[in-house]
Amino acid sequence: MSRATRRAFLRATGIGLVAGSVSRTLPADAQAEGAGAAVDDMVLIPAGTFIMGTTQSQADELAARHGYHVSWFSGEVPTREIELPAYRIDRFPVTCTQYADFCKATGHAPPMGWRAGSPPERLADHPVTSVNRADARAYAAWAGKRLPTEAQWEKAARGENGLIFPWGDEFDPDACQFRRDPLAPAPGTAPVAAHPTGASPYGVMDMVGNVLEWCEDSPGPGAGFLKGGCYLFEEIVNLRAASRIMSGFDNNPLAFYGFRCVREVA
Amino acid sequence: MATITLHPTPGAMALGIRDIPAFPGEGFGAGWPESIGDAARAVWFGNITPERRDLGDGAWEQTGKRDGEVSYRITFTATEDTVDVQQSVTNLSDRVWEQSLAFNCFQCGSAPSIQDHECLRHYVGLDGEPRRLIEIPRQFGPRPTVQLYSVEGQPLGRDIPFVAGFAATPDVVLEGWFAIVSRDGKRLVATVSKPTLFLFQNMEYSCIHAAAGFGRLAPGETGEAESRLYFVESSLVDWHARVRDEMVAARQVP
Repeated sequence: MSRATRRAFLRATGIGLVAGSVSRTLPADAQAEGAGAAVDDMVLIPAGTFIMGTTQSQADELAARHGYHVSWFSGEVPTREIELPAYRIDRFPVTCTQYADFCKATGHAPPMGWRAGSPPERLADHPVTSVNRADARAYAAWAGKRLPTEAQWEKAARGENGLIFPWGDEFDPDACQFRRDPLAPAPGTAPVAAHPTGASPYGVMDMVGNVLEWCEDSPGPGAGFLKGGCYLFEEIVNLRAASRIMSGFDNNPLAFYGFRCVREVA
Repeated sequence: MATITLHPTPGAMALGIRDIPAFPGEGFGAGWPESIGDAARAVWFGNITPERRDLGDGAWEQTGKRDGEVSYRITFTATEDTVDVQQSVTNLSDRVWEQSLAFNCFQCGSAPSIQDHECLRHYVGLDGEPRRLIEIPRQFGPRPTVQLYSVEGQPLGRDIPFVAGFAATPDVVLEGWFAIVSRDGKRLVATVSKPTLFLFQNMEYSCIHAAAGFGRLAPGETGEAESRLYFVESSLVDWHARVRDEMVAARQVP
């Protein structure tokens, strides 16, 4: 995205870049919703049903086309219609700047690699990484929020009708941060607002690629769901909104794990 | 040709592997052993602090002991494209160990040319041929990033308590090696044991394991096994022929 295009996008979404970090316009109703509301930019996901998961025939087709044994998709099959009450979800993954504010306010240990409690300046508006699920939950609690369930994350990413990717059913390499060239070094994270064409039907951004995002629920004790793929991934199968990536050990603060938060609507 | 260098971490079971001719500038890790002893009650690394001795020429000896349970001795020797690991385990308990193991981690997540959290370049052997791991059935357990596999000539995973406990073993029997091919397709790393009791991989860390098996050990008995890590410039097909030759040859050594 060119600088001019990016500025136009930021204006359109109410986001301004201030001193290299993301500064968001605060919705009036969010101001009363919690201690961390000063950094809020949340998107309302209306109450109602949505299609979660993948059909068996879709899984069969994915397996055949991409060379997988179909059992690799067993966690997301079959599709099911899920009813969710309304909620708000962060428009973007939590950035390094936001996480630094949390660490400074609470004394929470910053991620590995930060100096004097601050991220490298060039990463200020990138998603925070190297956080485990306890870190993510601590941030969410401080912000008056919590982590999304897998279902909440998936509805925000693919809308009510089961889009394959947030932006549609065809993969768009310009809509997310992923390993575009398998032979090249991994690209690293991108600013959370770097891929405006990756918006979900609700306008939630950066859901696919960049960082895998922690969810509140788990496949088992000590494990956790992660959604959305990341900058290390090159296989578009793993960049679908329904793709169920998991952590076997949710105390892992890996360099491609990040998160965003949700808040219930009263 | 230069040999690989080994760098044990004092007080921990970790071993750095560097100066690898086929992977210039890249490093790997080994957790050796992550767990050892009775397959029904293996002792995890946090419970045994290793002691090390420099054997010269880049070789290391590592010993560890938990009184009343297990002691072990491991030697690491590097060549230009392998790290050879000789292991002996002694049953210090008053129980018969029906199966015994050394659960050894080969950590590939820090080597950019090999790192593969999607398992797209992971390979295993099935019916005499190398196969991509994603073609092999997957059994999701409560820790879904890990997967364990039964190995030819060994008890099925469901009959090995250590393996069965993960509830993540698909109904398939593989050859006793695990490999990851480099991004450029010209090199690979692999782990194999003689014998391999079972295979393990964790996509979260991009690590692969070929657990060494020592069989049934009565109280006071000692078992021996050998493991090898490969760092080779080779096609998968050529390396597969090599590892099968070396595994067969090793079995003929008394």
